[in-house]
Amino acid sequence: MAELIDHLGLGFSVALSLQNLLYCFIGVLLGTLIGVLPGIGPAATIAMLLPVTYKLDPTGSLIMLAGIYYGAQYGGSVSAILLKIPGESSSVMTTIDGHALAARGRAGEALAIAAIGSFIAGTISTAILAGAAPPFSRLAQAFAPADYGALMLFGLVFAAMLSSGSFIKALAMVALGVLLGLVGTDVITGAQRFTFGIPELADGIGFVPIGMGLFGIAEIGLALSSRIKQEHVGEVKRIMLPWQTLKQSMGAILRGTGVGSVLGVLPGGGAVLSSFAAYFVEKRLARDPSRFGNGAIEGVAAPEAANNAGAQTSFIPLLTLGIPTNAVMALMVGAMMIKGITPGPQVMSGQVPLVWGMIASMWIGNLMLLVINLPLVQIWAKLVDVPPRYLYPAVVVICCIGAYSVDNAAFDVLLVGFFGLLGFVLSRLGFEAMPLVLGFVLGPMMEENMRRALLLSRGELSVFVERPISLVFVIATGLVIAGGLYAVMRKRSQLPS
Amino acid sequence: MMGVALFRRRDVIAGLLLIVVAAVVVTMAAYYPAGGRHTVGPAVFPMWAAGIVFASGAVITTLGVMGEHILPEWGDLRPAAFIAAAFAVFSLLIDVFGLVPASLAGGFIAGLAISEQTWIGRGLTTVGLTVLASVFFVELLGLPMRLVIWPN
Repeated sequence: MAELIDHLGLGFSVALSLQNLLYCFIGVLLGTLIGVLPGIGPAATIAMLLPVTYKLDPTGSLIMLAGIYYGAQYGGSVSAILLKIPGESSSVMTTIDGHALAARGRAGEALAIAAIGSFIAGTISTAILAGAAPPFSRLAQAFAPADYGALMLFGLVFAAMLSSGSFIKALAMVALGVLLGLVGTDVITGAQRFTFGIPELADGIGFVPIGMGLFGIAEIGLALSSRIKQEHVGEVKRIMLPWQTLKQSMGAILRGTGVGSVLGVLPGGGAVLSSFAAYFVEKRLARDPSRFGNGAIEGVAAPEAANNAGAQTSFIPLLTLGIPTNAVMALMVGAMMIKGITPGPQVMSGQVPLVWGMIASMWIGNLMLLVINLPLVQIWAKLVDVPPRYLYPAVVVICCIGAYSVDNAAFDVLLVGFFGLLGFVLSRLGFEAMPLVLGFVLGPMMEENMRRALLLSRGELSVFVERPISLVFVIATGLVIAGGLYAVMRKRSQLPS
Repeated sequence: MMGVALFRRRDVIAGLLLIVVAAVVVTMAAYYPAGGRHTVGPAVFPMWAAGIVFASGAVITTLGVMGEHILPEWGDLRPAAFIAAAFAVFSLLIDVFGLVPASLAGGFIAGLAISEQTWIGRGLTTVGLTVLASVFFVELLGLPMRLVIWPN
């Protein structure tokens, strides 16, 4: 406990430096600014804004990125409530009752409860993160390469299982992501793989082209090609939250926080799964479930609290095990690696100011969200009306410059365009980008750990079932695959012949 | 089965695409060392991953042939094509002519993705964007990029 308090004290001393406060503020502001734009979610926002953080020191860069994440998440809720367009999948549940409230002239209440619910959830889940990270990290230090390999395999398969589309398609995307991650020079033998003789591919495909292309650019292509009809609810005059409404929402906020905190840790979990689960828990517990879908304030409070709590606790496996559990965490790994930091237990013990500074900044970021967003909501409401003819060309040019600026490599810009187009085609064919990106990030790590384990065991595959930790993950992976295939077969048998 | 032609169905296209990708990967990985009894060579993981891609492709194709006849909702393809082209043109120009010409060309082509915009509007937006991008990235952030590279 004393160690925890020491660490938190150190974290706050780092996060409260004027420079890091400024980075956090800019992150939250930029994140909300971009995240509020219809169709652009946190993953796309982070991918687009990664270049803004290049010049910062690692701590400042991660603090700003975490701020961008929370800002973008709230921005998504604004477009969900005002336009009925969820900026990202974790805001889908907010759209249902949030827009219904807005349509009845209660947009201010919905926006306020989203911000307050997010803040309360953020505060509680930051405390959970601070308390859970050290024991998780100690557990992670007992992991051998075989355990890591098995854990990563489980993470990838479980993420495929929890993706919103077909399990088989998600599995294919994971494998495709692994293959993209293997492009370049093999770290063990030095052999070149899938480089097609292109010298720029010898070091592998950079994270920025994949992240920016598959999330940012593909989303713009999809938004422009489908011409989403905006259902605006008119001007938001002021934010007000009657005491009665806050009281009515408090239970939903706390339950949402609990659900989100637990589900956020799971691979494939995080904000999306949390918000869906929290909404359905509230609906089930409600005395009158028919209110849900017609403007129930709990229908906004619970998913908003849950998605923020889930966003927060998904940092636990990232910081302690080095395992990104969702696309946004995969982007965070990419950002850390650009700064020369490999997330995992070594970072927890070796980079104490960075890790605890980031954890403390999460709470500060959530507070800033509340302070910034309540007064600025009228500006955000106006921003959702910016015509795409100005917006999207600007985003494209900024992404071109951002991708180029990483290594001054024109080839990376070309790759962004390629992956943007690929993301568009994959989406139209019913594939999701999230499993691909997780496969891309985790694939090379999984290969390295598994090959190392096999080297140590002199090629004996039994190494993966001899150690209890890896055995648990191998069995869990088998169960998840069996469950996924069963679901596919059941769906198939239910189709009309 | 009647209805949607086989090769226009979403899952048939998706599955066949995966099978083609797996075939290319296997063909290439066949040339990498597979390793021995005690070592795992660089060919092994790509082969495993390609195997999963192939198997998934086969299942998706089968489901596409036997199951629901879903057509891919391509929508308007023009915006995605123009946006990808904007990146390609920017990447071709940036090292040869510098940031300003690359942004002008990239921004203008990206503007073609939006059909509601007029030609004059596109031109003005592109020029405005280029000025803002040059000032912000080069002058304010100090990114090491040359604004214009004059041909020798």
